[in-house]
Amino acid sequence: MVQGIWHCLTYKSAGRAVMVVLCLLLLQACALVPTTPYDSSTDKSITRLQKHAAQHFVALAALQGVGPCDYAEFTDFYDDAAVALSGLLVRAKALPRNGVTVEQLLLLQSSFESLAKLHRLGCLSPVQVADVWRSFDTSFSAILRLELAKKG
Amino acid sequence: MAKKSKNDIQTEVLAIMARHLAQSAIERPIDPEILSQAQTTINQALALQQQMLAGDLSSQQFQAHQGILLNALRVRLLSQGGVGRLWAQTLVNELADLLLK
Repeated sequence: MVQGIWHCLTYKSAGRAVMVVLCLLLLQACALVPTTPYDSSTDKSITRLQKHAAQHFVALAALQGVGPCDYAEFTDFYDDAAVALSGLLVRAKALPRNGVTVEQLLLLQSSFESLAKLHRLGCLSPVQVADVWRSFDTSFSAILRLELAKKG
Repeated sequence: MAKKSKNDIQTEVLAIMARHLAQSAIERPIDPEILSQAQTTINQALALQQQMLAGDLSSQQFQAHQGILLNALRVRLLSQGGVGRLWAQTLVNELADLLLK
């Protein structure tokens, strides 16, 4: 009888311990990380760059087989994007506790460099344009999502 | 230099994906939604690999295109709050399973 009660208590204790650990894990997962406040300039610049990139992909998709699609025809776009990203990075680095956004922008910069490299190697096929466009939109959305989350 | 086999390339893709994902996710919590995007990325990477094997893409084009895919996933990972590094490990394991099938 005593042994039965002891077992029951042990199970209850173990159950409570598991609950406590789960609650602690949940709290840890929800822990707030200090970050810089929302920056409307970053928001606007990223939105502008996204539109610029979308225009580029629309142009590339429209050119399939009906016009020159060589890299040389698009150097203005790559130059403008590099300048825009440089400006975004300088501003992002100047803001305190903004490391995540800086990391995201560095990755986006790397993606633009890869896109330029890919284009230098040859014209992009329709499938390539669609895939790359989707990837860029994912990056832009993620960067904007984080920036907008800073508003809250 | 000997031409790489399909398995060699798959192993390389796996190594690249795992390294990038682990690097991005290890310090940042990630969301289960990421898994879906990671699977899409893997499918795209494998499709690219097939194009390279068929001779439609050069290895340089493959690397550049794959770099863009991976970067998008890494940017996405960075913007997530939530579940923690356990998910990152699960994610990398799932990717490994997908790639080695």
